[in-house]
Amino acid sequence: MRMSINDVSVTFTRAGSTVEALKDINLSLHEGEFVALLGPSGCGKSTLLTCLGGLMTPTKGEIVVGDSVVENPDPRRAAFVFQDYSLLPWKNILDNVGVGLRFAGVGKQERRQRSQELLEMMGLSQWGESHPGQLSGGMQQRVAVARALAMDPSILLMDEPFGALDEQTRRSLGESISTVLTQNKQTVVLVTHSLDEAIYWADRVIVMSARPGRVMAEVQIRQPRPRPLEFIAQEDFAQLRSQLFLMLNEAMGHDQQANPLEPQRA
Amino acid sequence: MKTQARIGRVAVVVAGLLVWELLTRFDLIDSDFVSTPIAVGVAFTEMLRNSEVLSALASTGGNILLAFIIGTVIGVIAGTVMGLSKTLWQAYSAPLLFLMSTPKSIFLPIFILLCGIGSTSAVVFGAFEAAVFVTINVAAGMALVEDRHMKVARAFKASWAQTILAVVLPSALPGIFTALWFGIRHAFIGVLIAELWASSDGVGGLIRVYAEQLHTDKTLALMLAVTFLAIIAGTIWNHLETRLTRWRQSSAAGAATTTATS
Ligand SMILES: Nc1ncnc2c1ncn2[C@@H]1O[C@H](COP(=O)(O)OP(=O)(O)OP(=O)(O)O)[C@@H](O)[C@H]1O
Ligand SMILES: [Mg+2]
Repeated sequence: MRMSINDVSVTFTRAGSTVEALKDINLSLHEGEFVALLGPSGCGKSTLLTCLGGLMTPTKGEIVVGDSVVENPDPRRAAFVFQDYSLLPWKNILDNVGVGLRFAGVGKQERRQRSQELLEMMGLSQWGESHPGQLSGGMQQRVAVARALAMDPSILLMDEPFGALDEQTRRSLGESISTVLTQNKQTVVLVTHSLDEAIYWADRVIVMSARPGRVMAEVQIRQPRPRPLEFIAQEDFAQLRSQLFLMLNEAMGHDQQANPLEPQRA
Repeated sequence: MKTQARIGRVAVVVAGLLVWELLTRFDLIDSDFVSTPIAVGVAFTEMLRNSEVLSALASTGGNILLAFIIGTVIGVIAGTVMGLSKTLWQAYSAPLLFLMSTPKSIFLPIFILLCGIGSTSAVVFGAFEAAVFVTINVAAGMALVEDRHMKVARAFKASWAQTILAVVLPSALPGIFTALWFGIRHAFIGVLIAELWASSDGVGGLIRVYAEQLHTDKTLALMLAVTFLAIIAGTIWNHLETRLTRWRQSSAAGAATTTATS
């Protein structure tokens, strides 16, 4: 589904002091587009994603999906993969994947079947009966992705979903997920700190500036999706990578010493 | 270590009983007032065949169960409402905590005035005792609900009832279990106290009658029976709680040690 972000600004007020997290964001995503958001830590990426999914109303501006303004969350329209994955620790993995379907009133049989399919896709088919506490961080993140995909959403909002994965798993998973996403024509917004991840997956990479977050630059990746792994070894890839590296460096405030690939935690 | 502790505990009890028996044997203390362990044992076995005692046990058990159910239902509802509303919590937590720490038997005369002497007073007073403790513990349990889990419920469009069932109650489960345990205990205490003071039937009433007639052996035997019942209830409860909140242990133990236990 088409999504436009019109003049969105977010200001937090806490105990008298105000924080300007996002300022005048204007973006438009066409149906099936895969957009990656890059930017320094604390620049408002998660905040923007929260607004896109209707979990937060922007202080100013609006978000339009299809032809209606986003006001409330709806997982069929836009499903979240949260940065802290937030699985429900008292439910087993299968029930965690199916939780949105359960809320939507889908019957147990269908729910279990769909959840199992998704777990298989994520390489976790043996873990259905386990509880989140028994899984590693990377595995839990994959469960969170499955939980979002289970809703078959028009838009997928992912906040650093593969931060805790090793390179190998990330790649193979990336390939299978991007196949699924391309087949389903889902619109995806992916927040990431990894340049490789952004270039390999996205149609467009948006670079945001440090707080208050603004759109600083955007780069089109023209290679058709899904992309073969060889794309990473190609000259184009290396060029895009260095281009983005410099942009990100600039976004962090022209500091030549700072390494933009090292996420700074606030 | 565990068996050593167990042996130690048994040794203390046995030594206590021995001292008690010897003290009465040598008339160092009056067996009319304190009885002897052997007499209590005999009274205990006789009691199990005495229909008066058995019917008293049954009636008290029924009263406790009723008080527990009424008190818990009221407490869970009141506690949930208080836990969900910050305003209500701020308004009523202080008086409730105060109420919790005062001996509630001072309110007993009011209950007797309202409900008369007999089982009704016992049940209502037991329910009142239970409700106070359950309310506080359920409300405290609600504080364990994490924002990020509420966010999941909202993002995946859970209805109000679904949010309560899928997120709030499971998060609050440890608190609720504590609450229910307090519910049982205080229904127990409440009913017995009320019976001791204001009822001629039930175990409490019987204990009073025996004590007044200076049947110390029977009185102690009856108290022993009540203690056993309480211990059994506590043990059953512990097992139940461990079973129902097993996911907590599995997350604490981590991925390495747990292999497909469920
Ligand atoms: N609920 C809130 N109340 C007050 N300030 C907030 C709140 N949420 C976020 N902020 C502030 O807004 C800014 C943007 O936060 P946000 O989480 O969106 O950053 P981010 O780009 O996702 O960072 P990271 O890459 O570290 O995840 C931060 O400075 C943060 O302190
Ligand atoms: Mg973030």
